[in-house]
Amino acid sequence: MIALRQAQDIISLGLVKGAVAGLIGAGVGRGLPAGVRLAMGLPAWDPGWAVTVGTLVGLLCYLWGLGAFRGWMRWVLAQPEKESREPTSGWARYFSFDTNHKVIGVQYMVTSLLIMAVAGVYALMGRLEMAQPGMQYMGPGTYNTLVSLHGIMMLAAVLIGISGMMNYLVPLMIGARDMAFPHLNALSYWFIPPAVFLLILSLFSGGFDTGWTAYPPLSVRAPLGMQLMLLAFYLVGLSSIAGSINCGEHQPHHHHFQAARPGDEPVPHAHLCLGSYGHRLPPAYLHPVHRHGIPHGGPGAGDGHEIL
Amino acid sequence: MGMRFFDPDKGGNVILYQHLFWFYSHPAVYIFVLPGLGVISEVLPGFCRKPLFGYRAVALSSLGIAAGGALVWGHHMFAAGIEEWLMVPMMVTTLLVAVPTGVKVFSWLATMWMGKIQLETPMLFVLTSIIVFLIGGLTGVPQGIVPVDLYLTDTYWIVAHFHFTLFGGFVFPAMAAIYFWFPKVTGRLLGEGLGKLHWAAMSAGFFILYVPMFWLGLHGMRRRIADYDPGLGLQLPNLVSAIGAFLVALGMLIFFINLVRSATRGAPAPANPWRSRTLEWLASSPPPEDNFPTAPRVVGPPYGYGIPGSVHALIGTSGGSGKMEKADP
Repeated sequence: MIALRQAQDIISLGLVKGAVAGLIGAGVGRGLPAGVRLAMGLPAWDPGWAVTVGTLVGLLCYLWGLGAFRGWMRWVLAQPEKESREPTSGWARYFSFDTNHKVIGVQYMVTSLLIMAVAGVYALMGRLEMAQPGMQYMGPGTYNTLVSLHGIMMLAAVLIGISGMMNYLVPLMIGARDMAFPHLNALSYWFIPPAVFLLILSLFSGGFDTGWTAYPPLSVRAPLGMQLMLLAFYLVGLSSIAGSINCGEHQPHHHHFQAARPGDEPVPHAHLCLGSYGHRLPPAYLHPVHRHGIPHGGPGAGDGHEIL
Repeated sequence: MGMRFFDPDKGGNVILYQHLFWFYSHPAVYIFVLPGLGVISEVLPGFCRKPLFGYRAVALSSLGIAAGGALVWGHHMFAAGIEEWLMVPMMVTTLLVAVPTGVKVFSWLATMWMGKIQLETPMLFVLTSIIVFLIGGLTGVPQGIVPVDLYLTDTYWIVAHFHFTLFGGFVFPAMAAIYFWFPKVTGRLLGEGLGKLHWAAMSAGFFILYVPMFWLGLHGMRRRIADYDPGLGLQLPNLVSAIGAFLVALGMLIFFINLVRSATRGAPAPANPWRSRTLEWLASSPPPEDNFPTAPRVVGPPYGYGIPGSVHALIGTSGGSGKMEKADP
């Protein structure tokens, strides 16, 4: 019985649901261009189109399975917000679509360390090969792929690690309850797992020998692995853009309110956000507005005690 | 997918790709190090028990690096056949970025000067960061100069240089950050004994791994090539470098063991184990779902360590009564 319940718990995790939906979606998505090409009288199979459309459809299905659109759909259908700030049981929320900035920060940080470990192992394999002249453990193509993947995965790990620190610490450091847009914040994290999946897949799809910079003309002629890497790169980029919108939006509300109503009591800023989709935020997300200094490097960082 | 912007066989331009790539990617690598430099400026004053020297200059230098970093991309392409009139301006902007970076390094040194330095694990990683980042910056100047760069392009010198900047500017500060904020995140202290062992293995391993690469680069070893001629006399530095790599890996292994052990069995952490002043240390460890019971009130500078009576922020007790609690001085 206990084993059964544990199995149910694992299946109900957002990550597991998303992965299953995503894999099915990717399979269907790969078939779509083949159908269109047949209808146009072209040869059915084109790996470039199959992989690109497969990734896009797979990504959407994965996000749907994960529950990323649930909050927004409720808002579109004008259903009442299900207010559940109650934490779900301990570890489960770290594997699901959770909007708390501290959960998202930890998700980013752990993902970053895992990517760093994998990319570190790739580098270690490369160094082992270079310890002596001649090829001992792998072919030159595998060596080039490992070094290229080491580069791009370490860069991803750094970006994700920064997002982790930023997510966890910035709201705490400025005395806020959460980020400006918690759903967008969670969404920006959940672009990362499929990107990592694509990067690992590229190792088994011919790899790529261009280094992380992917210079043409070499990259134009590289095998399918190159395309998977570039798709992963777009996903990581999309994630950073979403993340930085969140951080950028954080400050103006504060300053706006400080100008309008200098005071120490928390003031909800809902009406400030009307017109942007911020106004669907439930009251518990609204962060308090108050006098504060921004600890380091943020806009308005003077000596930290200036009152605007 | 049949696009041909960059494919020379179809009338595309490969140099255009490099311009676009580095116009994006060079600012991106500065984005990588700026948070790391922020961590150094954040952690350092607390472990020296002194205010951060030149707060305004440190904050402005971050903006200087961000602005300057957007104008240097051409230095990746000196050997790629770009227009000659573009080379000298790119060289000048590249060398100018050393100025705001130098401001930070001198501010850190002045912060440590006459401070009560406490060598706990976060501080050890911060010290390694400063040294490694400084060497990374100084070894970047030669390849910013066009004629020297033509000689150094695509050699192991470049590999060594950017690993010094990325380890000094991100990896070591990130380690400091994890040791520093782990108690806040998990509510448990991260083991100091294993932490110091991790620091020792990783710092020593780092230098053993990358210093030989400077030598290799100067002696003409090319990067991104899977093999080298045994007649070139490059074996020993390559072997030393491999040993260093395994030492760094050992350090990371100790780190992961320490993380798992401390997260499950570590000593419970108080709200403010490092006697820090910023707002996150006013919340409990780990912080509650909504961080603060009432809005904290900022009344003083964030880094006024060692100044009698200086307080950064006050927070109301739960229920929001008038009574305020102070953070540690």
